[in-house]
Amino acid sequence: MADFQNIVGKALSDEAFCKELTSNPTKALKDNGVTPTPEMIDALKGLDTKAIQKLAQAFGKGPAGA
Amino acid sequence: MYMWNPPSYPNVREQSCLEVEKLLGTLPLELFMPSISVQIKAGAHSLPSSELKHLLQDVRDGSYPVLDFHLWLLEDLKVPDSRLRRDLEKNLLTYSILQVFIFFIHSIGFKFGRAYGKDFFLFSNLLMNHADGILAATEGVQPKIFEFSRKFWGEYSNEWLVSQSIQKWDLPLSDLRFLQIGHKWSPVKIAPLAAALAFEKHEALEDLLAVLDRLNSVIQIREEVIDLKKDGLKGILTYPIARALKAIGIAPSPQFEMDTVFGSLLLTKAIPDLLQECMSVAEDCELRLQALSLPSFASYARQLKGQLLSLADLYNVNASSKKDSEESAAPWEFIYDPQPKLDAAIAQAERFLLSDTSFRESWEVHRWGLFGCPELSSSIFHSALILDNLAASGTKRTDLIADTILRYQKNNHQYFDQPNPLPPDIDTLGILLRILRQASAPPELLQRFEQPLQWLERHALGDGTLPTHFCLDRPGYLTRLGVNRCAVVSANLLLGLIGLDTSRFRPLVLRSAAKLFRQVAESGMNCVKQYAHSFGIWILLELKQALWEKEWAEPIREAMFAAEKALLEQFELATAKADLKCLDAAFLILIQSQHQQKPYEARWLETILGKQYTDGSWDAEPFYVMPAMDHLQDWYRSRTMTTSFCHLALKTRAQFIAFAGSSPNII
Repeated sequence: MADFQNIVGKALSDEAFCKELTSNPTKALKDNGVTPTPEMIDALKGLDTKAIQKLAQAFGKGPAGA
Repeated sequence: MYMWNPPSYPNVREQSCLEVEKLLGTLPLELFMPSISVQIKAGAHSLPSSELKHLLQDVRDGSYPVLDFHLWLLEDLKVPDSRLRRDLEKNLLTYSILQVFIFFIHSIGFKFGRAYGKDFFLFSNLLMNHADGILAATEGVQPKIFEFSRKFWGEYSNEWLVSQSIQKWDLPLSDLRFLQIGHKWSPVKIAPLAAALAFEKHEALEDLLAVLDRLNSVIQIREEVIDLKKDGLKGILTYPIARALKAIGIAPSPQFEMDTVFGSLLLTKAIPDLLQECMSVAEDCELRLQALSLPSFASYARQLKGQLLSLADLYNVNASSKKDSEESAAPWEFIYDPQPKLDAAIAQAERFLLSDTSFRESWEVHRWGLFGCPELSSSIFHSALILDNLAASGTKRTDLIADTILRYQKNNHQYFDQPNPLPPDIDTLGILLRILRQASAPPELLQRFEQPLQWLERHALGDGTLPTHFCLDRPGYLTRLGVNRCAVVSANLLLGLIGLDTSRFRPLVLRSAAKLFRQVAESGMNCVKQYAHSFGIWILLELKQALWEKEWAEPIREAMFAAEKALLEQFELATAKADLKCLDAAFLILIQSQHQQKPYEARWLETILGKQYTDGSWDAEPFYVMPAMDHLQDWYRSRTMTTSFCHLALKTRAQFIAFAGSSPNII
């Protein structure tokens, strides 16, 4: 489960991954070594790409914002 | 969003700022530097001028208008104009400005982890003393105000001191803990309290303090939510980060990963829920303030509620739970200081290192008559070490490596470039052997080492003891210079010999390494006599690692294991060091990259990134012991040498991030 959360968290620093996670969560998780469960897919339902990008922008530009 | 434009009180601001300008203008010379630093911190954003009134504009208009609280109170209490009121307005504003400066000094040291000197402590004391003097000279507030002042500064100190304690993150948010979070702002209660005392408005005091306590907590949480990523990258476990971790079933601890926190932000409503709790508190404050007939404070509470709503909307990334409202659509910008990027810091450091390929700044130079010589400089050892670090980080300058090895031979394998009575030494030989493996034609260059390698075979003792200098042809020196007692010098040489990968030196390496590892296991870091502690741990662990991979080193594995255990204990101790230098941080990163069972700490990288100069370099920090005037000992230090290790550490960390396939957020 911890891997799942870490992988999902990458959506806040990787715009392409964010789009993939929201459009095709099953593939995005598999590509990152996580076997998706119905609970995981359910948890990702409703994620809003634009809202995530807006939050990422507020954190600072660039993938790391660091 | 509800917009409220508070009055600006221009006259009283002019007077108070002038008074503070006068104070700062008459500081002892030694306190000018911290004074300038704090004023720069106070004016971190673009300003029309450097005048104090402009520097403080952001404090007033920005996150928390703490400078105006007493002015609002006098206004709301409808205190008639009088000399007493005007004095009070000016004095308490001056007090508040000094208080803000003290906050800035503390935040630089406490939150950002900058190691600031005695001058900052003394400057803080001077400001506090002056601020207390203002309170003492203010009519109608004594002696009661000092009881409150002691109490509020006590609350403030206590909160800073316990803020890193894990117990603080007991959830859910209890009323007690909620109030404690706001104690980082406790002293801001002093000025409005003094105003109320001066005009004997005692009836409003208790309620006002209770409301300010709650507003302070809301403000602190709001600030921590705004700085969530910034704090997280620095490894600071704040309340919102703890809530985010808890929401996905992870116990808050200082070893959190930023991607885990981000995951929680996307998978849970931890932060919008937290902000909703804060909104409820702000709403309650607004109602109480209205009941107290304090309309300015009530207006501020209402505006704050709107900001919290906007912030909650930003953190709400689930389309199904988003609400369309006029308030949530209002823009609310983060105040965000971008951190230096890892990649940029690496590139700047590399450009600095390669800007002078003689690495002249790194040379050890003596012009005071060492060994009776008017000038002695050592360039070969230092160039070799920097080139080895550059090569290890992926920048292999084979032309410079070959040139350095040729110069070593031409200089009769000596440490100093000019003629001197000191015989050739094993430390220089070790470092030069180490860069040989990075050369484009190692076999061709190896013959340049034949003479010192023969010296080594003749000088090494049967039990593995190594000499410091090759004194065979000058036996008088052997007694004076003695055998090598520094484990790091031995390790440098052994690493060089292992790199040759020839059976010729294996028996010597095994004997010497076994002896060295036993010494490390028995005496810990006391076996390091000439180099910085953290470098010693790293290089000895490098030696262990290099041998561990060799089958022929099997007979001494037990000794290696015992030494590694002792060295990792020393690593643990080094991680607890409060005043972490850049070199310390660099070696901790390098050690942790090899021994990942030990947790990585974000503050190591933060220490390095935060102290890089604009030219890409870092400060000259103590690295090894060298002779000083009057035959005393001093520490060799060089900006180039520090930069070469910081560059290697940053590159190693960046490679680890890339290898782990994680985003740079794990920095």
